Amino acid sequence: MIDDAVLESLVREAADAVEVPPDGPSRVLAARDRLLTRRHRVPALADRLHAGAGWIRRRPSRTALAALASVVIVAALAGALAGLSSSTSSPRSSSAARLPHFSTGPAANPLTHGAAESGGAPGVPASSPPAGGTSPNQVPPGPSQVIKTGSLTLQVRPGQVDAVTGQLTSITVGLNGFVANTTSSSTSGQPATAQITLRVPSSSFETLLGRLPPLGTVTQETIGGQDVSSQYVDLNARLQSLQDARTQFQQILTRAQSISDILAVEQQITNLQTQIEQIQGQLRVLDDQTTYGTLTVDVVDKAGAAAPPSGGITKSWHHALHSFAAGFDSVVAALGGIAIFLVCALVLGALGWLGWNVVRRRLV
Amino acid sequence: MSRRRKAGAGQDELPRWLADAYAPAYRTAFLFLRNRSDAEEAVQDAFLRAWRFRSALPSDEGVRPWLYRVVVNACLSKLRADRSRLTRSVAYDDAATNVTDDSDPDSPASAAEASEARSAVIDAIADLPEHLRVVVVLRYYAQLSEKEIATAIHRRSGTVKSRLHEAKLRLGADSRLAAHAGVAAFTTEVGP
Repeated sequence: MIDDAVLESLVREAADAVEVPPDGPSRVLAARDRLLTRRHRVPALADRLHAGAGWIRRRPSRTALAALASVVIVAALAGALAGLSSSTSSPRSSSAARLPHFSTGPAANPLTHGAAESGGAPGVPASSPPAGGTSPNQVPPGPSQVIKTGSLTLQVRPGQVDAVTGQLTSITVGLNGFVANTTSSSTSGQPATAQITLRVPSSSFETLLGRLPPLGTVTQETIGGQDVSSQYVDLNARLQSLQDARTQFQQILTRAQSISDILAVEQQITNLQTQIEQIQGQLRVLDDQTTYGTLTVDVVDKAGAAAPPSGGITKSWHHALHSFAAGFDSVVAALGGIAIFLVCALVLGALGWLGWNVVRRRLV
Repeated sequence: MSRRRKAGAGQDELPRWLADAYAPAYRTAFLFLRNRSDAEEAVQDAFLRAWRFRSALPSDEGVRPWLYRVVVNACLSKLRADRSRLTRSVAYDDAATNVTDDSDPDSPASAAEASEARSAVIDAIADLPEHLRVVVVLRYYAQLSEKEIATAIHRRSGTVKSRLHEAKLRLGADSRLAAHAGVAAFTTEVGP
C-alpha cells in the first residue's frame, strides 16, 4: 500500500502542475451576470425549493413536522379516494332485473334491418301499453306477501322430549301443516334433545305459536316476518313482459323468410324462455315461503339445560370472564386499526424521507 | 451567532470565492475529468450553483467542504452525462502542453521525468473507479479531513475511510506509481 505522505506529494505535484485558465473566474462572473439579466424578479422554483429546504433543514423538528404533514396529507387523500370509490360502487340495481332491451334498433334485430328496406314489415317487439286501461304488464296490487319464520327453544320435563316432539307433530298436522325436518339426539349419560322444523299455513302460524307454552317452558324465541310483496310484484311484472315478448317473437317467426332470420328469432325465443323459467322458479319459491310459515323448535330436556350461575361468586366470576373477553376483543379491534395506520404512516414517511433526500441532493 | 448566512445579505461573495477557490476547484475537476474544457464547464456550473444557493451556505468552517461538494456533484453529473468520452490519454496530452514546468530548465531529462511522473499519477488516479477517485482527490489534493470529505460526498466517515484504504491499495499496486515513487514509498500491510 502506498504511503500517505508520498501519495499526497505525488498528487499535489501533479495537480499543481495543471495550468488554470486565467480567464476562468471572469467567465464565471460573466455567466452570473447573464443569469441576472435573464432572471425574473421572482426566484426560480429551484431557488424557492432550496430556500424551503434550508428553512426545514435548520430545525430537526421542522423536518419531522414536514414529514408528518406529508404523511397526513397522503393518508387523507388515500382515505378520500377510498371513500369515493366505495360510494360510487352501487349495489346491484333493479336494472339488472329489467327485460333485455331488444328494441334498440335495426342492428339489434336482423329482421327489422332487412324488413325496413322492404317496408311494411313488423317492427321490433316492444311492450307498448294499449290505448286505455292498464297495461298488460302491470300486475294488480294484492295482499301483502310475508315470509313468516321463527325459532324457539322449548324446555320439557325429563324424559319427555320424544313425547313432546310427537305432540308438536300432531299439532302441526292438525293445522294443515307438515313436519319438514326432525333430528334427535339421545346419548347415554347425556340428556335427550330434538330439533323439529314445522311448516304450517301462514294464516295458522300464530295459532301454532299459541299451542306451544303448555308443552314446556319457552326459554328462547325469535319470530320474524319478511315482506316480499315488492319482490313478488316485480317478478310478476318481469314475467309478464317476457311472456309478451316471447309471443311477439313467435309471431315474427311465422313470417321469417330466410334460414338466418329463423335462427336469429329462435335464439331470441330461447333466451326469453330461459329467463321466463328462471322467474317462474323464483316465484314458486316465494309462493312456497309465503304460503307456509316455518318454525324451528329445539326441544331440550330440562336436566340437560345449562344451569345458570347460582349467584354470588360464581355469577360474578362468569360476569367478569365475559366482561374481560368483551373488553379484550374491543382492545384488539382498536389496536389492530391503529397498528395498520401506524405501519402505513411509517412506510409513507420513509418514502417521503427518501424522496426528500434525493430532491435535496439534486438541488446542490 | 447564526450558523447560516442570510440570502443576499451584504457584499457579493462570488468574486471572493473565485479568487480563493477557483484554482483548486479547477484542478480538482481536472483530476476527475481529465479534460480541460469539461473541467472548466464543471467548475463554472459549480460556482454558479453555489452562488444561486448561497442562502443555504453553512458557517465559515463548513464552506470548503460545501463548495467541494458542489464541485464533486458537478463533475459527477458531467461524467454521467458523457459516458462515451474519448481516451483519457488524449485529454491529458491537451493539458500537458499547458503544464507549468518548475523544473530546472537546464535539465531537459529531469523535466521530462517530472512530466512523466505527473502523467503517471494522473493516469493512475483516472483509472480508479469514480467513488475512489473522489476521495483520493479530496483527501490528497484538496486536503479535506475524512469528516469534511464525508460531508462533501454525503456519506459516513467510515465509508470514506474504507474507500481511502481501498484506493491506496489499488494505487500501491499500480506499477506506474511504483516506478516514480520509489520502493521506500510503499509500506507493507501487516495482517492481524
